[in-house]
Amino acid sequence: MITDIVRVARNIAFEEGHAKKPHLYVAHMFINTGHSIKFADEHRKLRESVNVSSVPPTVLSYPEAMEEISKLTELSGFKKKVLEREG
Amino acid sequence: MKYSFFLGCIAPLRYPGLEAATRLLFKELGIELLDLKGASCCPAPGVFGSFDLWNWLLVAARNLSIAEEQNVDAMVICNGCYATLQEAYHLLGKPERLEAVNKVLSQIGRNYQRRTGVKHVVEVLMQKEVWDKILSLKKRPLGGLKIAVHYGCHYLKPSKVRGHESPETPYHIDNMVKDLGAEPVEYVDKLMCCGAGGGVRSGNSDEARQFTLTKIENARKAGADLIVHPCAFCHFQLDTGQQELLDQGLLKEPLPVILITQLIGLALGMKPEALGLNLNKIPHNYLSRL
Repeated sequence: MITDIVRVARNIAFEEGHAKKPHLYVAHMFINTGHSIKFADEHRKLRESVNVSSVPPTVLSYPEAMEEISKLTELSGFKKKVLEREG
Repeated sequence: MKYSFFLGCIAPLRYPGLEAATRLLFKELGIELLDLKGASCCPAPGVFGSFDLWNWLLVAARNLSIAEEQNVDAMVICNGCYATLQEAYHLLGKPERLEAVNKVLSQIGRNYQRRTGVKHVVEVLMQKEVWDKILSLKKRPLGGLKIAVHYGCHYLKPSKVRGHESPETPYHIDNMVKDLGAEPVEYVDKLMCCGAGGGVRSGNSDEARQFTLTKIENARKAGADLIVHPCAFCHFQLDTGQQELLDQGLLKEPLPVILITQLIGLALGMKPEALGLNLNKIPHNYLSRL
């Protein structure tokens, strides 16, 4: 499929060091938190306002899960690549 | 019936009303939603798939492995999460690829055998027994409402992997709207992207908003009172994107947007605040008519 070809081309571009800063920010957020967007007090309050747990039962609630993500991004080489491109 | 609720990022961290409405609806339907404890970003197909497909596949397989431990399918309310998890499930059908992934996952104490996969919330809701129950529980008539359905790209494509309806003439959500008593309206370029996907929102937000503007104007011209969709990320772009367009003076008449589970919740008589409709930036003005 065309989209598969485009995606592989994008992977090659990333390998060669090309990446947009906002996209690197998203990748960095994932490496540090396990999510691709930040979670702050204002978001916690939003959650409480609709009666769901103040912190979602995701990687944010389980430090051991974050350790898994951290190790996985090391094993895949992704963490190193992102840090290199961030400079 | 039970599923492991894969939250993703946008629903739990920006629009928790989408999560709350889905939990409330499923409780009402008697379908158990387990927490997919320790799940991460799916990871997003646009940015992460474009950067590094191997890492993208490993992280997706880890998420799928958590649901597999619970012996249930994961259920998503975001087309992006659906794209990643369903495509990963599909790709891992190749034994040598699954073996390579498990070789890495074993180093973090995980394993995935592809015994369970992923379902989109629409696929869950349109099962006959579930839909019949929804219709039997209807309490609030939605008659008089004109609703534009936005399916979102990843819900429909790639069609060979999705396999649930025509990617060019989808109708399932339109039929749901009709069954709930409202009127689905046809509009120009109905299958157009919300603007956010493929890393466009984060990489080129002006371009993303142009898509949103065209979409909203087309739905408006068709007489829609609101837009219903099956995706947290589309919700983010169509709601927050409209607010940005209003702030820029580029949009005059916004349209409220609603996730399919929120719309069903309304039809079942649930309070709009409990469904998180008040957390939208674009107000749900039509509620005064119900």
